[in-house]
Amino acid sequence: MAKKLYADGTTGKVAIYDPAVPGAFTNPLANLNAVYFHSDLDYVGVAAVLDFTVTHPARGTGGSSTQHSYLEPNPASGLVSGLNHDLGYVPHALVFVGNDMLPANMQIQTSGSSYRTVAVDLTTTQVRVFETAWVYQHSLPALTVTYKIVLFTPKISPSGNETLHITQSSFVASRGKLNTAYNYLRRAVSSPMFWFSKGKTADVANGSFKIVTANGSVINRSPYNGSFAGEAGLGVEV
Amino acid sequence: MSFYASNNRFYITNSAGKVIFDTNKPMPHIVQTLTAQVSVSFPQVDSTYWRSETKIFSGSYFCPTQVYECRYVYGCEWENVCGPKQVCGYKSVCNYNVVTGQYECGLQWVCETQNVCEQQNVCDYRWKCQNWDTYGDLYEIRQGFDYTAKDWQATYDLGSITGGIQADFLLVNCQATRTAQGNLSDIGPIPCGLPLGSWFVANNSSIVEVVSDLRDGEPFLTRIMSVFVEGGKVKVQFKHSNRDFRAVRGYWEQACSFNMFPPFVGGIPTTPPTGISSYTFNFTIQVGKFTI
Repeated sequence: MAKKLYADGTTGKVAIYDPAVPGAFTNPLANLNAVYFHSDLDYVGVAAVLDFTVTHPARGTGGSSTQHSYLEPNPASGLVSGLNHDLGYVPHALVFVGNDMLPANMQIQTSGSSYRTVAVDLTTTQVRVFETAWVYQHSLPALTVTYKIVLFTPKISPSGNETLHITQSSFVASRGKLNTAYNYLRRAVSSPMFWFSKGKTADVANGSFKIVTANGSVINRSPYNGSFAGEAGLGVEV
Repeated sequence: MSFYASNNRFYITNSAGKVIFDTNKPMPHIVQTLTAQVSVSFPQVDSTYWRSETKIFSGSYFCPTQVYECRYVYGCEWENVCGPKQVCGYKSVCNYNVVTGQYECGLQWVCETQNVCEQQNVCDYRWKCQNWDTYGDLYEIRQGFDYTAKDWQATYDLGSITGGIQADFLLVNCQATRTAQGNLSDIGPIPCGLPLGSWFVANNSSIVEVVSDLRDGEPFLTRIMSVFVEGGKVKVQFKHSNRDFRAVRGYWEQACSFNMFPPFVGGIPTTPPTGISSYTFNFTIQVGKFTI
């Protein structure tokens, strides 16, 4: 498929598209199968990639019970870490431990009958790790986890009036929507930095759950007995 | 910065030589942003009452009591016993003297048979009806609830994707408010591991609630939420699964049979908790697509 770079100085639009589909320039959303780049599209920008380590505290067991022979559950929950991003808006984000995209409230530690889950919440200034320790018969030792949290930009709004601005150090197209000063995401078939997903990543059956992350990792929590296979995600790089 | 256009490929590098744009690598873009709110109630966890009793000791000293009944028993009792008895003593006796023609009186030792009653300690077998001290049987009583397996799901449309575009990915932020907290016999209120009230990252499935066997940590109830693309729409699906499970929190103790029969254990709720949890979820969802 041929590729055509076309810049319209009147409208400020810039596109790279298949010239066999001229409508791809005028109406890209209706002709996405012929569009390589179009300034009308809202590209996903990465505002920050946060790699940070959290030490989750040790959690002790509960007291004895008069009604059963097991210790009382001793759940504990709360924020264990906060990291400033100061973006001024609540960003969309993805959370990974290693290469695994983390479902909210996912178990990150088990010890006999006890386990620890985490979810990541967002404010206009911070990314925060919220944990819940489900402590039953076994105490949970302290745990150190490194998280990768990708924060995305809001839509990149065009500014100025230049359709193309090319210098020795920069390439700016369509009033700034394509700018070599930004980091854009691209599809990465091999060794992606992280994954996108459009499908379910968890299922329940027989009282328990199975997780298949976007990169294909499987967490099968006994006694799950379903047949969930997940849906492969798409790897990307910056 | 370098701009390359060769061999049917455009790509741009920045001043550091890093590729910023490359037509050989599709770029993700957002085709739509959806906001939605969904309220959901996860279903009731059905349960049935169970009870078992085992006699662990007959006539236990732990169970002293009294019982009224008639028994044929050997025993001694003081009784008033009457019967003929020879009674002797001095008695004034007068006889007519024919010589003197007069009666002559004087004391004389006399024995005679009389009916006499007296208190005697009588020992014998006899029927006796009264409250008797005794010891009841000792039972071990177990009571609780058996959860009945249930699978449930509910799916809601959050919005149609513009132009019927086949989306490639979603970026989901979610805010959860719990409007009703479920309870179970085992653990009481069901905790939720989501940061309630805050916006959290919810790609693509989230675990809302898990309740596990206190003995080994294996879940017996799990509730999840999944946001996904299907048929040109963004949907949210809530799923619940619980397996057959006997509540670990049984109610057991030793009980004496005479307290109430069949004996029962105090403290067990007359109506089992339903386990129904309700939430309202707010979503902001970016629907994404890759260029070719």
